[in-house]
Amino acid sequence: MFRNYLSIALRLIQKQPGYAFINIVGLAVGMAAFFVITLFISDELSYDKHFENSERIYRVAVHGVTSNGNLNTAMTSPSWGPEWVDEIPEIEALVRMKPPQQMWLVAKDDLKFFEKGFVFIDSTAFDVFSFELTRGTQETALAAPYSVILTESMAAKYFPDSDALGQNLRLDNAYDFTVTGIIRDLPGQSHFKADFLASLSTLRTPIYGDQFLEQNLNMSLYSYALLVPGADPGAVATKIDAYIDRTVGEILKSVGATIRTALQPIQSIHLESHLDSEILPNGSMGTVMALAAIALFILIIACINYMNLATARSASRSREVGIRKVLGAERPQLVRQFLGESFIISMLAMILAVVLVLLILPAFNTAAGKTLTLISSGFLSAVGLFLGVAIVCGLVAGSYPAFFLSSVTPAYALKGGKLGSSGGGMLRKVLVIFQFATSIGLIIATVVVFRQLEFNRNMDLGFDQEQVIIVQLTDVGVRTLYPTFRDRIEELPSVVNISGSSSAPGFFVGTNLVVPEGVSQEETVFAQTFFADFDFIETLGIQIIAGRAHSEAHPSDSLGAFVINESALSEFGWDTDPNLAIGRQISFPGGNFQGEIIGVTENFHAESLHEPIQPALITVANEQSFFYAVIRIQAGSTRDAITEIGRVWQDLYPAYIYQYSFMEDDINELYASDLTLGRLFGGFSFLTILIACLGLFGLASFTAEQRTKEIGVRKVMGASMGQITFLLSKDFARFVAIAFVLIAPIAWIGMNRWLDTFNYRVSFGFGTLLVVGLGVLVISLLTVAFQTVRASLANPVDALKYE
Amino acid sequence: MIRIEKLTKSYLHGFNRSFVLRNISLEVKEGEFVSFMGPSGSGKSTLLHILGMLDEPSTGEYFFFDQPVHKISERKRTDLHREYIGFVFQAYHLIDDLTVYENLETPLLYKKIKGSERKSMVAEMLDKFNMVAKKDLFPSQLSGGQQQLVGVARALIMQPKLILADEPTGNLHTGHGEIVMDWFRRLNKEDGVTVIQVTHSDHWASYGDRVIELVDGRVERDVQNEPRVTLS
Repeated sequence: MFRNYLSIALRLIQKQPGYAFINIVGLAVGMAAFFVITLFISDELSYDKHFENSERIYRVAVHGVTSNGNLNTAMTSPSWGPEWVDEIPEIEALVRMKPPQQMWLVAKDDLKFFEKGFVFIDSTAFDVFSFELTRGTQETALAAPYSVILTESMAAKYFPDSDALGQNLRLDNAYDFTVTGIIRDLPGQSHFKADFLASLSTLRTPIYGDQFLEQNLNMSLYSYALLVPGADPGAVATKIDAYIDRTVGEILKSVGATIRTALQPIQSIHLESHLDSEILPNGSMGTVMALAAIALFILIIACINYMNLATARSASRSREVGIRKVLGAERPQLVRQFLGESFIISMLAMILAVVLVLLILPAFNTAAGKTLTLISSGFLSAVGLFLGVAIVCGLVAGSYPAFFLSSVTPAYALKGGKLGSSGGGMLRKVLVIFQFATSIGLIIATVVVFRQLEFNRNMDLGFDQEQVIIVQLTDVGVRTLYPTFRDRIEELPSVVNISGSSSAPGFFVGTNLVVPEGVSQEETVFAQTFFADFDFIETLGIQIIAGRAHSEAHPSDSLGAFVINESALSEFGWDTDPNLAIGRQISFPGGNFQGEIIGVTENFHAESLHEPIQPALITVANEQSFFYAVIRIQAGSTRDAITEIGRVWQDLYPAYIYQYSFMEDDINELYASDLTLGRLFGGFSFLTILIACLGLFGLASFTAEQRTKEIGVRKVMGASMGQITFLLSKDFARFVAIAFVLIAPIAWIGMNRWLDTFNYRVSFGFGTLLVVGLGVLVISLLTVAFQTVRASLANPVDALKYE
Repeated sequence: MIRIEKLTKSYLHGFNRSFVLRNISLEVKEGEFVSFMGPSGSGKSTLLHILGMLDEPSTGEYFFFDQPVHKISERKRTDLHREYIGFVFQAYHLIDDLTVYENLETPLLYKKIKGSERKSMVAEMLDKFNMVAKKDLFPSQLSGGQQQLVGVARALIMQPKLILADEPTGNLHTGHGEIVMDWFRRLNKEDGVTVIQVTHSDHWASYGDRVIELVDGRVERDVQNEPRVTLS
């Protein structure tokens, strides 16, 4: 019996290859998209689950209110922690960790690399995290200062030919560490990167100053607690708060601040934590949910194609059903036959989908910043997923034709009863409308995302970000020689200007507490701070609207002269007339740095447009504050500038790596996650419209076939080719129109909500919606055009003979 | 074998009910060869379909071997019709995507007959109808007459007690029609199979021994044919 069904199914594929192609390709594309997204989601959901006891590990986050604004940070103070283990019974173990601000330069003789994964960590690391030590002793490996444990791949990188254990590594060209252990590599699915575990006690030494680990109110490292089974994290946080009140409560009270801690389950950090100072950029639950929805929609759309085409063909299949019933077939047997057919199609589609996934993955990995493989969540679960999806698709896609076709009375079926035009027709229309609504919605989303990104790119940021190179001054040694570096760079023909700065727009912007004149010490204000060279304002092209910029002609500018932006005026509570600000005083808390305002600039966006403009101040400082050299180069001589600057660097700093970036790229990087979102929407909206059009093409051919007689009669009555084409296209145009009316308001509301996450956003109105709607209409009409024109060209005599 | 009482079949068109069959009562005994005749739209085919359990009457009673067909479940009806009834159609109604061999095999599959037995039954039929050489061809590769012979062979393969034929010769040349009708007569006379056919032609009706004429869904005439002298 099975053989009988199989041969029917295969012969149908042979006989109508176009139909089979549409079905298999449509379904395969849908499945491939579903597989890829499933791989992505399972990867996102697996973060930090690989640690033993990971469900009991929490990170301590600090939320606070100061007199000016909120504090929400993932970091804690260095001195906190060790005492909690003794005081709070629920805390079984605790570890403090300090990853690099940016990167550390690690060297083994001439092998030098900047490393993001060089973390300082307590010797209790092994009590909390299940690092697998393959060499060395767990108890002593992190006990002494200047000890470091490497992962296996780092050991191979720095010590390719020898045993790493007991050898030395040099950090930042200054500090020698001894390798005391080797651990297995950690999976990439973690909210922190740890390739080197260095003993935290090292930080007592000159690297951060003797007192670093005693600081009790300086959020600068991360604390992780392993709680005893069944402990309530809320209660633990309350006990930690009590500790903070006892130890630093007085100080906090004196500046009018309160802080509270919260324990974040480590497994939730990657998708749900969006605090200041996250170690690595985190993912977002919203994106995961949106993708899950898209995956499901695409798969449903692909299944709908199968159902649509199958019911459209039911007129031709109904005769077979009639015959089979006459020959003694019972309904369950027919249901099995039709489900079997759709299983065969979905299995073939699944095989094609796996091939497609292999082709799509590299591009997807680039777009999403992942390293997924077909079996990255395990071979068996991958096979299970593929088979499972094929079976479910076969069932879903085949169920309607199976139950619908098998329900017909044989006498009716044998007359060639038109099943398609009755109940099946209605369902088919609903399904087509659903497909188009989804396509239109996704296209609208894509268009809006890219328009906003384009808007960001073209937005006047208040300074000129083009033709600017940022060179990182990573080290004390580099910064000490900065005046020489600056003088030599200034001489280069390809360079217009250079300035050192503590902050670089798009890359890193520091903030400080400021006490403006006329305001008490308690009412401090956070302001973006640029400790810079005299030329900073000129180099970036920031516009002065009152007073003047710093200038070497006024040597006193280096002794406390501030240029602030317009936004600072109102934040400081001053008059909004910039001219009145000149000459007023500001200071830093503690009163150790004070000066007067010499100029006011236009507002400029040093950070992402997601953020509102903040008060900013620029002041001249000594070269030890310069973490970046901001270099404006001559238009058109980018390549020369990079090589020439590189040559100067090599000459001055042979021991250091020359690291540069373009400010424009750094700024675009701020929208990396928006860009990913846009690319994903773009890719998947292309897929949905492709699948929907495949289905439409098939449907149009069957409609034309079913209406052959009507077309013949109309032509005999004198209808022109154009009229026939119009007649046939009209229905499809109506589907698109209804789909548009249904989805447009939803897309409008949804995308406006997304745009609202930007402080500066494009307006998005009916025009965009209409353009997308018309675009989809044109695409769908072109898709059906081939069929409708062919039908309208047919000889009416043939058409009428057909019946 | 067949007894129907006050059978009607009607369809609703808007608020009007149109009747295809009106109050038909008749009886067909085992071994009869009956021809339904009448103008188009007189309800002959509908009646045949109801007798073959492919369609259901609107009202009335239908007894098949004394079983009340109008009362029993669909499953039971399928069993009855699988067991006793073979159908032959004007349009042949072979499954286009199956070969001659597979078309003949299909009813056996639905009756869950074992593979080896199935093979021998199909082989026997192919032999009987001289179609062994054509067993791997598809219906579209055969002439109309050959297709109808496959149709007849398929109807006979289950060794039915009743053959229902809906204008079996309607699409055939006279020569092919003769072959098909000869088969029916032989089955009727030699094996005692009951045959009921629908036909427009007196010639084909003359193969049978009883003619029932329907007009507007009513039995207009029910007569026995003159015994026919047959060749062979």
